[in-house]
Amino acid sequence: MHPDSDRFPPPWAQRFFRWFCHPAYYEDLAGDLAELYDERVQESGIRKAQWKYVRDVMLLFRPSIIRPVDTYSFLIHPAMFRNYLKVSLRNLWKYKSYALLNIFGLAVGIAASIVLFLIVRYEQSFDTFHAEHEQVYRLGHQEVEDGKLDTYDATPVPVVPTLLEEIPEVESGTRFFAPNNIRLGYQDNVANPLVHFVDSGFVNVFDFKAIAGDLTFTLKTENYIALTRSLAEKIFGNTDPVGKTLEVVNDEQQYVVGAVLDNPPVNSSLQFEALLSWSNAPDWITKEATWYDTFMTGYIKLTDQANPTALSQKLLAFKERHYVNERAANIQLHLRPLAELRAFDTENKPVITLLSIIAIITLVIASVNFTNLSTAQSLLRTREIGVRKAIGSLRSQLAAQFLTESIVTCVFALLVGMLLVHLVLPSFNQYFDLELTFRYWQNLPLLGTLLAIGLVTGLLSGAYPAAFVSRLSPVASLKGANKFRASGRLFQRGLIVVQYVASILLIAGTLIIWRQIQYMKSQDLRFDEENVVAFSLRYEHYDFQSEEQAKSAIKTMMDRLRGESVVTAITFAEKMPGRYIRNYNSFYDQENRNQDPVSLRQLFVGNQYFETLGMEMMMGQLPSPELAPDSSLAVVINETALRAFGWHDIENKYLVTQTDDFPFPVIGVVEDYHYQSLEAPIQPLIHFYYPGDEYYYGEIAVRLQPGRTAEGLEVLESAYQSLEPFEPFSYYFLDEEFDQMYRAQERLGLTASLFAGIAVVLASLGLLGLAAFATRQRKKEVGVRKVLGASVAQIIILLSQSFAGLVVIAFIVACPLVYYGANQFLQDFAYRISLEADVFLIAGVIAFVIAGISVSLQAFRAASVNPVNSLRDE
Amino acid sequence: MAKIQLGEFEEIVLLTVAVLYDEAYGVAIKREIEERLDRSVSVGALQSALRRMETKGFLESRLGEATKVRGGKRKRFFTVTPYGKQALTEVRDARLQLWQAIPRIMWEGI
Repeated sequence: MHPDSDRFPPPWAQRFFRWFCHPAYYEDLAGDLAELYDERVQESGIRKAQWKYVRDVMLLFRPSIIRPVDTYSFLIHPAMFRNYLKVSLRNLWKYKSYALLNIFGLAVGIAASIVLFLIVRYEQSFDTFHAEHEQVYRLGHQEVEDGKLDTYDATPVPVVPTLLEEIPEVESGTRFFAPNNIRLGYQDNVANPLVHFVDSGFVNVFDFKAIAGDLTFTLKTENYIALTRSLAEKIFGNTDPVGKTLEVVNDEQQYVVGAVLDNPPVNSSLQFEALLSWSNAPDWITKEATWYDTFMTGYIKLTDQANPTALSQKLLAFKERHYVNERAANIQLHLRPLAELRAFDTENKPVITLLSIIAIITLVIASVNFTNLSTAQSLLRTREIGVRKAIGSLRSQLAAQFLTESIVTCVFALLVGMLLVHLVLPSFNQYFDLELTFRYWQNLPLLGTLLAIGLVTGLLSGAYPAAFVSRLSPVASLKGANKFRASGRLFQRGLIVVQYVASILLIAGTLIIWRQIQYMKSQDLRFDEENVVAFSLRYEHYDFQSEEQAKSAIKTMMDRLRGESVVTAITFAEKMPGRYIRNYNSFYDQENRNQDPVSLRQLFVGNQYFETLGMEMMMGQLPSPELAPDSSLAVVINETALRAFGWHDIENKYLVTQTDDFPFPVIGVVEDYHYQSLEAPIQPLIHFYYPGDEYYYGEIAVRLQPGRTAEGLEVLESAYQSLEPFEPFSYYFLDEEFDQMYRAQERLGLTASLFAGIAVVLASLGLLGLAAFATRQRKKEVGVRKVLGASVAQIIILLSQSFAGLVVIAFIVACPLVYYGANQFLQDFAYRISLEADVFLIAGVIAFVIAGISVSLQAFRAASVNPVNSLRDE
Repeated sequence: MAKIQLGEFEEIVLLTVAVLYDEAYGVAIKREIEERLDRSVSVGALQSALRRMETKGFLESRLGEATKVRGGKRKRFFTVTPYGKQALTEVRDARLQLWQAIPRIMWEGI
């Protein structure tokens, strides 16, 4: 033995060993360890010996060495534990309404966080199932238009093959484009799938695997087709489709099935039913397409060493080389990583971010509220604690009881929360366009998280009563004196203010969003949108033998409809107002070719378009078959376009595009009318006039006699059926179409209202807990006041005052936030409501009333107690 | 009779206790195994095996005299019981039987 303390094994390790070691083994084991230690000190020095001692102690910590659990250990003792459980359940039952509120509040928080977890996981799972998705990008353009940076993911037809040739970093690539559905038949089975044309690089870029046949071969070979499993089953039933020949209905064309693929999973941005090699694509896509035709999507895969800066330089040079001059200046090639497609395509990102933030806050607030309420509740039970202590309960036993109770409550809340998730998930999926599933066996991490949340909240909320209430002296608690320090009251109050700020924000937000939507819906569209029914006409939806036959069939149908008395007017157009799809080109004034071009939205319209839809001409003439000059298309521009060119009349005005010199005579100007969502101002628009009735790829709009809608629809349907279509009749009303444009805003509004509701519930619960706590503290005071003659109303006011102050503070804090947020939201709209003061007032009053109800309920209960009862103890 | 369960490590410990005869206590057993078999043995594993086999009845133990070394703590000496011996024999016989059952031709060419 050496006196130097360094020469001993670490004392804490010795103590630990003595603590856990079986008493019967302790002596000889400690001796062994000491002997080994001394030996090691000689051999390899103190440090190593100490370290090895610690290691040996740790390795001895195993069941056969550890002392058996003491029989007096309260937590494990089954009889006591059963008693805690029983008392917990009895208490929950005894304070039913309170327990219900408490459990419900926490359950809402838990449900919100579960849904958040599901959403985030679902959204992140998109397109990441491709093994090398980090190297895959979707091509797009970035362009400054009207001062705004505009990104759209379409690419000119020749870009992908040219990139592959010219830029070594591009390892493989594929175009992905479906111009229309193709009717495929095998014996008696016919299907009408959306067929995508892809390059052979598809196999390298994506991980869609063939379950039968050879996909690589199929996508390289002309006249071979790959089907998804569901399509194959639809056409071929249970027989093996590989090698069978599919006929294209009414066409000479035949395709041999070369491969069958699994259906693209739900969390894939690319959805397809059948794939054809690019060599099968029609000429207008392949041969006639130029660097100008930007309508299809393309994907490229970079090598894993690709350097982003070097690549962007090369892309810049690439663009300069190939793009038409005028476009090259404004456009940047843009690469969007595969994993980001989903967020971009759905525009879900702001909603998802909002949801995530609110859901986390909700969970935290719900947990803290739960703790507050439990604490307040425990104070009701000082007498019970006194009795238990007097009988001989240890403090540790009381603590164990409180912890058991709060954990039991949390477990209930957890179960209710999960039930809530099951209830709301279907409608949630529908509104937010998601496909979330909540399956326990797939969600082990989620289950773990939930259990952890339940346990942590349970422990936290039980911790205060366990630590403080259990410390009360039995004499004091039996006397009913419950004096607690006001520690943490500032925190509690701060929390209430935060919750009410959130509530007011969300209530005001809800109001503003719905008002804005209503405002846009109620705007005058500046044409007569009522009583107009439209339906789309697509060549491939009918059994037409040839283009000629199609044209004549459609003409017959149009003539037939014109003859009906219920039809007041009929027209066709590429797209009707409200369904306009962005499509634009730059136009020059022919006399002023040096001037900057004007970007005009383009629309093909047929005979009687302006008349049918009730648009007013500002100048010039309505186009009609007699007017249309033989060799060129007459055009009508809108008022905004007239201003954009700086014209005052349209005498001898001709428009030309950059690419060809074909002059379009401007024959009329139409007053501005809305053809797009009212988020954006009316943009310059050009109508190409198409005199014949034979336009067979667009939409037909029919104005019906007012009040004869049902009859009109029947007439339309029978006319439509006369074309022997493959698709059922589907129509829409123009005015309703405009109302449906605001789905994104409605979703946001719904999110805001949903969480406004949750925030209000939670805030009221928090306030209720605090009020319960405070009124209990002032029980005696209330008694004395009543004896001295105070009325119930006076006492309610007294008790509610301080809480009213909290809500007022919350209102003052919330106002500037509402103002800022509302302006941020509204500035995106060209036609917007102005921010009225009543929004603030309504939100404030709602918050105040709800707070008032939850506080005054408590106050009323306290005030209506007979003072005899509250003062009896003295 | 139920089959005797004896793990590989247990067998080694049991044999070593027998080898050490009268001097088989924790540190000595550990040292002996480490030297003879050239493998490191943790105190935890060894002690848990010893206690386990004591409970099963393969071993019995007695405490020695207190000495000045080891911080004055006594040693616990283990000895193999008849049941322990039976266990060892059974394990050895089972092995032998298997060895003998291997046809000679099996070893040709290995």
